[in-house]
Amino acid sequence: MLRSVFTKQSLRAYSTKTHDLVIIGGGPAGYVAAIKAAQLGFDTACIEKRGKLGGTCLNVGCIPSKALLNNSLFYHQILTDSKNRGVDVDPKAVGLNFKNFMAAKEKVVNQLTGGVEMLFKKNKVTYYKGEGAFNSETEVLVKPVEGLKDTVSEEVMLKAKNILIATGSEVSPFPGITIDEERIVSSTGCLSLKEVPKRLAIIGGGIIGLEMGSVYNRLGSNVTVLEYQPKIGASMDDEVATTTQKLLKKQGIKFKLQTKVMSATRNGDIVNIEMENAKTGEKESLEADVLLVAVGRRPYVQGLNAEKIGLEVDKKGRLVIDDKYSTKHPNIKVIGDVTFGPMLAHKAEEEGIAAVEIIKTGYGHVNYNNIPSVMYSHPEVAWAGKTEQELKADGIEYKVGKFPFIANSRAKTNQDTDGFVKILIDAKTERLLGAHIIGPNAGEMIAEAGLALEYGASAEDIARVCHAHPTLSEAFKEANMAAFDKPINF
Amino acid sequence: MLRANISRLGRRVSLWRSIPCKGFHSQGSQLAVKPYMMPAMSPTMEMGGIVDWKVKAGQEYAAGDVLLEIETDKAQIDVEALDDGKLVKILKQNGEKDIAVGTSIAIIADVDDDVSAVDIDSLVAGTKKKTISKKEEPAITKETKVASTVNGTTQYVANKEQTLLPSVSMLLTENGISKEDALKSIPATGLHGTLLKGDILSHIGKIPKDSSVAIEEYINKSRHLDLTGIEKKILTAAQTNDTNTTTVAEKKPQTVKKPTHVPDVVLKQDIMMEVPSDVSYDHLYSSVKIFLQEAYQYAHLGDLVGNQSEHYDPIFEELITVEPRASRFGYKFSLVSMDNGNRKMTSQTNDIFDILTSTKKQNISSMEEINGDQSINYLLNLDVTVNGNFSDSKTKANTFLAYVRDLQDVQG
Repeated sequence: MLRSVFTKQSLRAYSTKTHDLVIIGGGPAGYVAAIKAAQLGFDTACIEKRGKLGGTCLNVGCIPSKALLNNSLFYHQILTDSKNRGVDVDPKAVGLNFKNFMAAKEKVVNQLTGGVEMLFKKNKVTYYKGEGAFNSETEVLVKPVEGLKDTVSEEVMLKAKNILIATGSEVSPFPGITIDEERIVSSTGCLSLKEVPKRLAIIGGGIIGLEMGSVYNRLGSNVTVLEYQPKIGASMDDEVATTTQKLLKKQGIKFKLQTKVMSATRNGDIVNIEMENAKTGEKESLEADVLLVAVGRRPYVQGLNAEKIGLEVDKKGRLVIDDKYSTKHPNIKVIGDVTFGPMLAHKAEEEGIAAVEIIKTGYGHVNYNNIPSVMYSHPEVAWAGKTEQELKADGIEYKVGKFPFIANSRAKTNQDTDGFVKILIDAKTERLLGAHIIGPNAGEMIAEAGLALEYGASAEDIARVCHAHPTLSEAFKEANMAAFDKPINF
Repeated sequence: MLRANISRLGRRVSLWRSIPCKGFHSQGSQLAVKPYMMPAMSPTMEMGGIVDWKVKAGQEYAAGDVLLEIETDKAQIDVEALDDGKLVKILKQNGEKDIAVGTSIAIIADVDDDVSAVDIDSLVAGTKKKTISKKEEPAITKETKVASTVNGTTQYVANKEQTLLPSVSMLLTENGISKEDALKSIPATGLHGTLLKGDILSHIGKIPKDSSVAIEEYINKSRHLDLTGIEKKILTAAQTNDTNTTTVAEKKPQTVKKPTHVPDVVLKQDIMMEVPSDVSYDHLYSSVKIFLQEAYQYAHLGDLVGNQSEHYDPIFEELITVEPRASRFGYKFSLVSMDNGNRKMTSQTNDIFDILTSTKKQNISSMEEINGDQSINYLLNLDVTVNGNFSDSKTKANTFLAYVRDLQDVQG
């Protein structure tokens, strides 16, 4: 008897663990949800197969790109801008140590991903390093990932009342172009190039393309951006996008808009790109040392075995949810890039918290009208709320308030005066509808717009708040004064 | 649908300070006498207990008066009345615990109501039924939703306790409208019933009357994800037929397991101290007390193991430490004199180390005239209770003890 029981058990190749909540994916959506859930008292587990927590954002996205952006700007300013400030630098004495330049980025990434792991420990989140695959609506099998350090030693079956899918997104491929991450790279490869390419071509004039273009342009690459649309900057306000393009062009980035890339092939160390003008059909070719394909991202469900429990996707491959992030199985929720809404880390984080709160209390809060976007070029571009073209399309009567940084005292003292703040308010109620900033530190300044939008402030309310002098944020205040009345300093 | 969610949340928040009997208004009840329900003092509160009714049955109260004190798992909170009224009958008495939010705990009425005409018992019976049906739904029900919908249109009721926006405050003053009147009569389209500039402009006729509501409705449309018109397809068609029919139990608010408590450990330490005879017991006692406090603070200071590393960052350490400010251990001590005898008290120093080393110095300097009366032996008896809830408690307690043992070492 004993023996037969024993054999039966040994047939089961995996052990079973039970948790209140199992989260698949340890990116901004998953890890934030995991910590929040643990804080709310759930026995929480998080599965991640990358080997490091933090997802695309921390490992191959927002964070490493910001390290490269900041340090390349530093280098570029020493080379080109110090003389105007009374600091004489011998250009011959300034050198770029590209290996250390990349190492500085790696260091930050490692510190931050390690930090998330510590936060898991602190909050008692169980962390499974492995690949999670659905076995049923309440079971997820964690499989070891070959070659991954500290991966689970054997298959573990996790049983949970609630399951949260936060598997994120991956780089969208470009039809007909093979990404080898050496000469033809995605954003991931572009963050880890071995050397500064002499000529960098970029397909896609969105945020990723323009940020990476900025980095290598500053390091000396000859950068060309190829964009199919007649404007850059994706969902940016049109006026801001035009100004951005002008400023980046001044910095040396070349733009080819309305350009359709037909093919790109690698020939040794050179990439040959064939393209045609989308309007005239005129053909053109371009040679580059590195080609970055940055045409967007798509939902990632590989290895999830979501088909086993019959989960639905839409045309773009996004997992279908209802207003409480639930799939057709109410106990399985989906958040972040793998489902609807903008693919932004901070949107994913908000959803992570909301989804867990819904499990706990039945409701959560994400205001999709108030999710800021930031591009970390120089100057930065940031916006929240409605764009002017959206208001026009929706037939809303609006007023515009604008204030240029050239009239802002702090921007003047910093000798960094490119850009402006643009405020959009309802023509009658004067309620703030959108804020668009191109200028130094725009990414920080947009937080003020976020608060104002959330609480329904009118332009006057913002203008009546005392802003410290001299600061860049005074430009934000003045733009609001301009929107409902008149600015003082312009 | 997310929109409904948000407005529910908003409603809930404003309820923290008000009384959730409003929901009954939106149900269209004609009764001026109405049940008063256990309020939710936070979005996560599910149960509460009654500590003390501050108003007695039959007594009248004014808006802002404290009606009762309730306790949750986190705190004791005073519940204030939103409107003037009269407490007709108390249904849940002082000391009753684990009362679900939304359960009727009393019957209230307007000040000028003739309560005698109302059949209280039937009202009580009626509320019981409501309470039961409420339990079947998740935490939030329509009863607690404040941006109430009447005949399909949203009512924008101003939150009575708001701080006015600067623009609103100026406009009201300019137009001679008091804050009270504004809060009572002007629809508020802002978050949590905040009056916005547009609301006032609409009210005073500077802009078309429906402008502020129109723009709020426009904004509200984009507050939630557009989940309409999704062309669904199932990931792989093969296995869908059987899973389609799978039923999953309706989600209910989850009950949460509390982390298991690790029992506390008590560490004991005895330290013999040789103290000059001119130090009084009281004096020694206070010196030891100060010293132990110092040791206690030192032990709690930070991660004393890792601070040799170049990566050591105190702010980061604090960030990743569980409840960094919570006490890791407690201690009790007693000080027992091992000799008997009357001693003079002359020592001025408060530092226990000075006291202890002075014995030694005296002994060395007066080697030849060794006199038993020169010092007294004291036993310091120390009990350290280690808090089992934290993984670093033991380390910290040991740091504390090591610090204290210096008392022994200094005496050689």
